[in-house]
Parts: sequence; structure tokens; C-alpha cells
Amino acid sequence: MIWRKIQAIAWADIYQALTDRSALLFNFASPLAISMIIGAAFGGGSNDVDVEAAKVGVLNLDTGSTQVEQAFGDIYTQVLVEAPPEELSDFIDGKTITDEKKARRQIGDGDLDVLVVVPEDFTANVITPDKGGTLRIYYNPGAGIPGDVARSIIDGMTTQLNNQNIALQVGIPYASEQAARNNQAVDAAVAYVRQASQQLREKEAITLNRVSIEGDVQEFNSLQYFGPGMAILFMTYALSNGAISILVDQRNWTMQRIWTTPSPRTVYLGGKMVGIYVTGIFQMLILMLAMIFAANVVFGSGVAVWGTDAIGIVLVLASVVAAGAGFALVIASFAKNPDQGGSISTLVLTISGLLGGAFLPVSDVPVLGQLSMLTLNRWGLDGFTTLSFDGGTVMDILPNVAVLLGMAVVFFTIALFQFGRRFRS
Amino acid sequence: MATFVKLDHLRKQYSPPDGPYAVGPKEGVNLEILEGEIFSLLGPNGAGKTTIISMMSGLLTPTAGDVVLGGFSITKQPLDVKKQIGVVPQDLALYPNLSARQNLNLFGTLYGLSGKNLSKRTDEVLEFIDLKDRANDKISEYSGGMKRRVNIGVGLMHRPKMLFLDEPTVAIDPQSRRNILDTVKELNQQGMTVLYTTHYMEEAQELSNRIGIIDHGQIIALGTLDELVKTVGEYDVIRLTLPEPPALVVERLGAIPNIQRAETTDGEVRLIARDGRQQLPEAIRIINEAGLALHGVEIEEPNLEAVFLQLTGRALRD
Ligand SMILES: Nc1ncnc2c1ncn2[C@@H]1O[C@H](COP(=O)(O)OP(=O)(O)O)[C@@H](O)[C@H]1O
Ligand SMILES: [Mg+2]
Repeated sequence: MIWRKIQAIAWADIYQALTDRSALLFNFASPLAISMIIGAAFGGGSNDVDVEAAKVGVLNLDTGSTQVEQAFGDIYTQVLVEAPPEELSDFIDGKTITDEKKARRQIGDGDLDVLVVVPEDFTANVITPDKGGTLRIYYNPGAGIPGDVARSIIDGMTTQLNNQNIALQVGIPYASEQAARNNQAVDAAVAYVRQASQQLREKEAITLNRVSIEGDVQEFNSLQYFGPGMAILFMTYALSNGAISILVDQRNWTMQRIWTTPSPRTVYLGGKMVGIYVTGIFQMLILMLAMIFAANVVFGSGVAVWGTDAIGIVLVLASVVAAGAGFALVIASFAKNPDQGGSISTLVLTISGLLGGAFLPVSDVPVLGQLSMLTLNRWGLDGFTTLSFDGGTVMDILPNVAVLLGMAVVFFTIALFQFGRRFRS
Repeated sequence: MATFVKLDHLRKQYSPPDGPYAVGPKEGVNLEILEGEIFSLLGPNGAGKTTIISMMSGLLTPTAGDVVLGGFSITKQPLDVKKQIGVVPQDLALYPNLSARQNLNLFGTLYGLSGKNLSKRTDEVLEFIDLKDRANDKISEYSGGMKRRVNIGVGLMHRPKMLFLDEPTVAIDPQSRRNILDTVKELNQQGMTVLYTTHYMEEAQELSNRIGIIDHGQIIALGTLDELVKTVGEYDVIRLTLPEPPALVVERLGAIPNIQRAETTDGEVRLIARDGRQQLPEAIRIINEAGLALHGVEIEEPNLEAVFLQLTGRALRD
């Protein structure tokens, strides 16, 4: 019986939220429009005809192997950053990277075109028969021709390395021989690059051969970053309407009237919370679907905006909406009246969104980066991007889910306490 | 008639910052409402009517005392009390973006109805408040009178034994008011006990079996219409329409023997007079002497207005 009553109150809330046309326009159309605009600005397939040098970052984590003198990862650093062959310098502007996350953000912002990540066990895996190393290459498909050029150069190098590797044997006993083989590998890569750049000069297309050493190539789309940021921000806006409806109910006396019915007072707040939560989930789901549509149909990239780990997505979604609902309730619980609640919520939620990186990545900005850890926006956004362009899995987003649920518990407790205090009569 | 509700030393003390303001004297309000009667609380704005109804319906915790309704205590068995009462708040306590039917369904569910019972009862109530053909329109699209009717309808969903109506006719047209007064009478004829608050003495006069007059948080008079009117005895109210009368003239009018009191309110001088007709010529003489133009004269038989004026020295409408 109690549950039916809670449902009835929740339903009234959801129904009103979903039949309010102006709210719908604001909650659904604007985040979509904003992320499309940002998406288009950062990577909507612009075609630069001028071939500029591609900004290539190399993150070399390769710890090498006792069996080879030079870690293979160093070859990439050498060729792309430290000592590029002369012919290459026109096409590649390389630098070493130390912070992978930051570098990926830079790809999103267009500050970097391609990122090569050589994992720790790269060399070790390469020289293990039947194993093979995995190289991760990130690039922004909107980076245009420089990006393509850089990618094909890296692909080519990798192919050459791969061919050399066929000749490598595990457990070669003499160091001199190892060194010789490694030098061979570098020479081969450089030779390829020479040839490739020659072809480029002759304006011949470079044939992409991306087989490489299990070349694991991921695409990045700026919607993967701005989509979740916007969706979370507007979800919190929508939830604040729900939370403030408690104050509206108090003003309209609908809350008091519900309290004159033979139902415990918890039924009302329970109904409101369920209603707010479901509205939030609904709002997020609609936006998520809309952004998938936008990425695939409008931008025509086959990118999985939200990643492909369904369980992970559901967990981040469920926990970020819980934290958002709690936060909206806390703000409403301290507001004097609905009008004040509305303006304070907009202000606080926008600041939280800004800090949390909804409009621009802030994780690398000093101070702001640390402050952003206080916002649910940051944790939710990180959760979603971990699943999408970091290719993470459920295990990787568990910390985010835990923090978000922790926030939700704290927020709900504060809100219940504060509402309880003000409604005591 | 048996007692249905007993207010037992009921008192509410609002504390700062909004207060202090006490509803109920030191020893609290003691009052009984009988089964099947229409009891009116008549008093000006801020008298404490809503405060008393809120304590009776479990919205406000009394500072002291209790309300026993149908054998249950509102402080100890609130849910048992709430099952028996329908509350029609002073404000339009409805969801404006839901239809009448949706509002009735929502509150019906909260009153414990479900399934067929709920939809059947919703139809009955819609029929009763005469809104069947507009049942699926949003409340926000209704006229003031229609909203008031839905507001009452919500309180009827669970067929309560008793209905609390808090100023249900504020700010509506005369026809809608007529409709609501008739509705209240009809419900009462069906056996419903009614607590009705108002600041219109005509309504209290027309509807009530018994009336409590409330002012500044105190019940200052209680009884049937006849009993109350008797307390002012054979006094009539003479209303003289006299724009901007000088204070001196009002004072001289008040000094006429057998005129107990003279009051001015918006362009009107009211005299409380023993045997009004006899005193009228003298009053008119004083006005003429002062060179004032008398626009109208009216003599009212003793009524609640006179009772209130007599008890408080103020008009009810102030
Ligand atoms: N929550 C409150 N806090 C403090 N004072 C209040 C509160 N509610 C009502 N009052 C005061 O109590 C008095 C009675 O109010 P109310 O019961 O609403 O009167 P009525 O319904 O007769 O107009 C008023 O003076 C009002 O200002
Ligand atoms: Mg009132």
C-alpha cells in the first residue's frame, strides 16, 4: 500500500516533468545543441588541404626486456621525437608525453593530433613468440590530413618493426648481436619513413597498412567528452526542478494536503525522491541515445560515444543520477522559497558543471583540477570517458561509482535532515 | 446529538522569529463539535482559523492539548483520525498541470483507494462536482469556481465522516459561491459533519447549526445563531452612508442616549442602538446640523456582525 502511494506521488512528478514543454526543450534540446556545436568545432571532419606538421605525442612506458638491449618503445621516441630523419620533420612535430589522460584531452581539444602509447610490457610481449605487443594509437578523426599522415607513418614504422621481429629470437645470447638487430630495426623504420615521405612529396597516397603488431587503434570523438559533460549538467538542472517542486508543493499546500491523508510523512518524501531519480535516469537515457544518433548520423563517425561496456555504463549512469538527485535536494532543502531555490540551483549547478569540466577540460588546470574532484560532474564525466575513449571496463569505473554513491548517501542524508527540520511543526 | 470532535485545551504558540503569536488562551481552546452538524468558525483574517484546522488535521503539532475525533487522538493516532476526515485547504491545493481526474486519482490513492474502487469513486466525485465533461483538462485551464470545486472534490474521495473546509469561497464569483454553499448543505444532509471557517458572516449565518466566533486566537463567543444574537440583546445596527464624517460628529452620534457605540468604516457610520428606529431622527438631526449630506440609511436587525462589533469594537471585515 505504502509503495503504491509512493509510486502515485512519483508518477505525478514524472508526468509533470515530461509534459512540461518548455522544460523539455531546455532539458533535452539545449544540451544536445551545445554538445553538437562543441563537437563540430573540435572535430566535425574539417578537411584542411594544407599539410601541416602533425602534432604527435609519444608516451613511452616500455620497460624493455633483459633479452634486448634497446626497448622497442625507444625506437618510436627516437624516430618521432628525439632524432627524426630530416625528411620527417616537415610532417611530424613530435614531443614526449608523460600524462596519458592529459594527452587524450589534448586530442579532444585539437592540441594534439595523434598519441602513441607504448605500454610497459611492449618489448617483452613483442619478443614472446605467439604473443605480440599492443601499441595504442589515439587520434582525432577531425584532425584532417596531418593526422592521417602521422598515423600512416606510425603504422608503417610498426610494420617494419614487426617484420624485423620475425627474425628476432627469444634468448639470443650475445649482446652485440642484439644490438645489431635492434639497430637493424631502427634502420628499417627510418628507411620506411624516408620512402613514405618521398611518396608524400610526390603527392602519392600512402597506402595504409594497419596490421602492425596487433595495432590497437582507437578513435576519439569530441562528443565522447562533451556529450557526457553536457548530459550530466542538464540532468542536474532537470533534477533541481524536481527538488524545488517540494518547495512549490509547500507553497501550493499540495504537500500539506498530502500530509492530511492517512499516509506517513515519509511517503511524500519517498515519492518525491523516486520521482526525481526516475526523471533523471530518463533524461540521461534520452540524451545518451540522442548523442549516439548525433555522432553516427550527423558526424558519420562510427564512434561509440559512451563506450561499449553496458554494465559499466549502467553503473555510472545509476550512480551519477543518484549523486545529482541528492545534490539537487540539498540545494532545495536550504532555499527559502521556490524562486530562490531556482536561482541558487542554477548558479550552484552551473559552477559545479564548470568546475567538473562540462564546458572545458579542467583536470590539468592547477587548483581547478583538484577542486573539480569535489564535483559529481567530474566523477561522472571521468566514469563515462573511462568507458569510452579510455576503453575501460567495469573494474576501471568502480572508484567513480563508489565516490558518486558516497556523495549520494551524504547528500540524501543532509537533505532529509534539513527537510525534516524545516517541516517539523 | 453525540459529540464527534473534542478540542481539549488546544493551544498553539508560534515562536520567534515568526511569532510570538498564540492561538488559544492560556488554558487552551475547549470546544465540541457534534455529529452531523455544520459548525462554523467565524473570524477575521489572522484570527487563528487555519491554525486550528491544521492542528485538527495533524499538520501542526499543538503546543498543548489534543483533539479527539471519532474516538481517536490526533496526537497519538493521527492516521486513524485522518481516515475519517477530508480536508479542503484555504489555498487551491491541487497540481495545476494535472487534470481534475489525475488529481482525484492521486489523492484517492493516498487515501487508500485503488483499482476499480478508485476509478469508480473518481467518476462519482466528478459527477458530484459537475466537472465530468472537463475531467481531463488541466486544472490550470479551469475557472476559479471550477478549481474550488475540484479542491472540495479531492477531500471527498474517501467518503470521510467529517469535512474541514477552510474559507472555501474566497475570491470567487457569487454564482460559484452559491454553488459551494449548496454543496456543503447537500453533504451535510447526507450525514457529513462539517467544520466550516469563514470571515463572511452571511455564510456562517446561512449554513451553521452552531458558530464559534474567533478573534486574536481566542474563541470569544459560541452558540447557535439565535443564542449569539441574543447576547447583543435588542440592539440594532444603523448604517449611515456618510463619506468622511468629522470625528466630532461621530462622537456626538455616539453620545445619543440609547446608542451604545458609533464606528466609522469606509464611508459608513455604524451605530449600535437599542431600538434603532426610535434613535434615527435624532441622529439625522445631528447630521443635518453639521451640514453633512446623508447618502443612505439602513437599519439591520441584530446579526453576527453586530455581535462581533459588540464584542470587539471592530467590524468583521477589517
Ligand atoms: N507558521 C507560523 N509562524 C508564526 N505565526 C504564524 C504561523 N502561521 C500563522 N501564524 C500567525 O498566527 C495567526 C493566525 O493565523 P491563521 O491561523 O492563518 O489565521 P486565519 O486562518 O484565521 O486567517 C496569524 O497572526 C499568523 O500571522
Ligand atoms: Mg486562514
